[in-house]
Amino acid sequence: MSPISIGFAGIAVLFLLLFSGMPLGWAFILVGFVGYGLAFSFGGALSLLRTVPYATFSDYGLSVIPLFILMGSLAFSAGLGKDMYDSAHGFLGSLRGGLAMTSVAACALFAAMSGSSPATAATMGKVALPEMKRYKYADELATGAVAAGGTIGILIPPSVILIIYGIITEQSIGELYMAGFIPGILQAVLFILTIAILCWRRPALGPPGPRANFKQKLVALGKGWSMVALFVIVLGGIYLGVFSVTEAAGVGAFAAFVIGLALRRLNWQNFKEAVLDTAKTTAMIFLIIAGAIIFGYFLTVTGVSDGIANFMMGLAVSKYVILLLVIVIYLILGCMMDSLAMILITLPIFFPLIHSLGFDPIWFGIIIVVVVEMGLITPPVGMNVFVLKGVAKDVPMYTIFRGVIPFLLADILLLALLFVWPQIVLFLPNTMRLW
Amino acid sequence: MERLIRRAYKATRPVIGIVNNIALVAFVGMMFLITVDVSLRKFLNMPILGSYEIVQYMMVVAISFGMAYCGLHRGHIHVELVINRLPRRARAVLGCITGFLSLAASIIVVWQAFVYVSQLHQGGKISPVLLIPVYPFAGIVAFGLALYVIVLLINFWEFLVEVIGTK
Repeated sequence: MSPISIGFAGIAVLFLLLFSGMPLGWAFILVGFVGYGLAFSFGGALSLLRTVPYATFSDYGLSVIPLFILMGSLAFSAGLGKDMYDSAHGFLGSLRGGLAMTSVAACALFAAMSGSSPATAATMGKVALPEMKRYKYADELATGAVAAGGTIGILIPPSVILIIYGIITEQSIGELYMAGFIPGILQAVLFILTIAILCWRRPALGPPGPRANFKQKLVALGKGWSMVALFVIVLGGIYLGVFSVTEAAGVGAFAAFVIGLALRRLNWQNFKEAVLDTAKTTAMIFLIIAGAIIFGYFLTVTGVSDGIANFMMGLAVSKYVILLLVIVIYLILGCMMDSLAMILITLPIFFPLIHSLGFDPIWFGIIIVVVVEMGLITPPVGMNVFVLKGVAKDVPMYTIFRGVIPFLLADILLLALLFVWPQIVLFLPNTMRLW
Repeated sequence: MERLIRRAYKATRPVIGIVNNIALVAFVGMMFLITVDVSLRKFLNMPILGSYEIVQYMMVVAISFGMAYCGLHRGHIHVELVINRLPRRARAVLGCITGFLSLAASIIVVWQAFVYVSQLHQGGKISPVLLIPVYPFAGIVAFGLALYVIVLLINFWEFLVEVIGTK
């Protein structure tokens, strides 16, 4: 069997094991180890198992992951999600569909503290859904808005998916963060416009909430200070080159801790829960990363990535058709599996192709994140929909999936805008390079 | 056999709890260390010597010691799309197979992790600034993963019992 055949067989076995329910990290390690052994040598494969776990667990560059997760967990424990909701509520609540718009805006604000979409959806679900129920919002709009709004969590920095993308493709995480910012805001605006259109056509979907006076608006604005503080420290620090991304993550986590203490909302119990949650998520992510690295070595040694890249580039079609094909593959996979798994399996295969076609790697990273976001709300495996179902137990899953359809259309529009005007993505990273 | 595994589980569980608490301390330590280091560097131009290395070592402790706890609470990602639609027995059989494969992979990884500790010890590898030996931290990785192997063994055993029990 030639190495490239072993490579393709390895990918098939990996999918088989994953869909059989094997933990992702171990599936990566097993297939990577056996495949590397068969294609190259078992001595080399054992050497990978010997060195990769320690090298991964002690990689300073990767320490940004647990630190940003800690920041998000502390912000969640300190109830900053509710503050973001109250802050947006003062300005948008009185509009038709205003509470759903508030949820989306609050998701975008909370995304500046959290790097995870399901965490953002869960936080906002707990705060926004009871409020929308009180004002007799249709379940499909209420849950759809929060499930879709939550996805913004991985586009607006900090974002765990962007860190992983940056590490696997050797791109600057700082630049990726800056690149995600404007598309994230644009996505929130598109979602809010979607709600406005839906409620304009069917006013019963989202009746207007109470009107806030000037003083109430001012109070609402004041509640957003914690987000502004964290935003300035983390993104401002990275953008101006005050500190590295890892340092920004550490300082950001500390700032979230101090804010929680200052607001008297962080006690020993919820502080411990936040750190425990960080420890569990980090262990899960790092086992997968170590496995993906071993699997990546296997793919490299078999030449699968180059084989696919050469084959696709040999096709007599435009590079945009190839890109579209890759995106369709991502969309299909996104419907079936976890976003982290999908990114780690596919990037070593597709990134060399995208790179050799001449697409900007930072731009492609943002495109991939938008596609991953869509995967989070599409059936049958829409992680955010499952999260929302956990919060709104009385709403059928079908209703939530129906509710996210208009937002999926908004996502497609966003993708089209990013295709036509890549500057939306590249403007901030380009100005950052000037500093 | 079952009694032996149950005993191993009973003995391991408190150890997993203790090492997980050490992991939590390491996470918080990383946060404080980075903040203090950045502050000292920016305001007093006095960075902490070797802070980079200390963060690395803390991360090794935090991740390795949290691994088994994560496994114990089923925190490791797996794709449920297909298996959730299968009958109970088929699910147990698949769980048994994938559990065995995970266990086999983890045993090889732990074996190699201990070989690596011995190699680092013999080679006398130390960190470049603080000159701290690397092998004890490689040992922490091996130990953390070894605890996780016991969790995987229990998971496999549970599936096996279910398969035999639902014959």
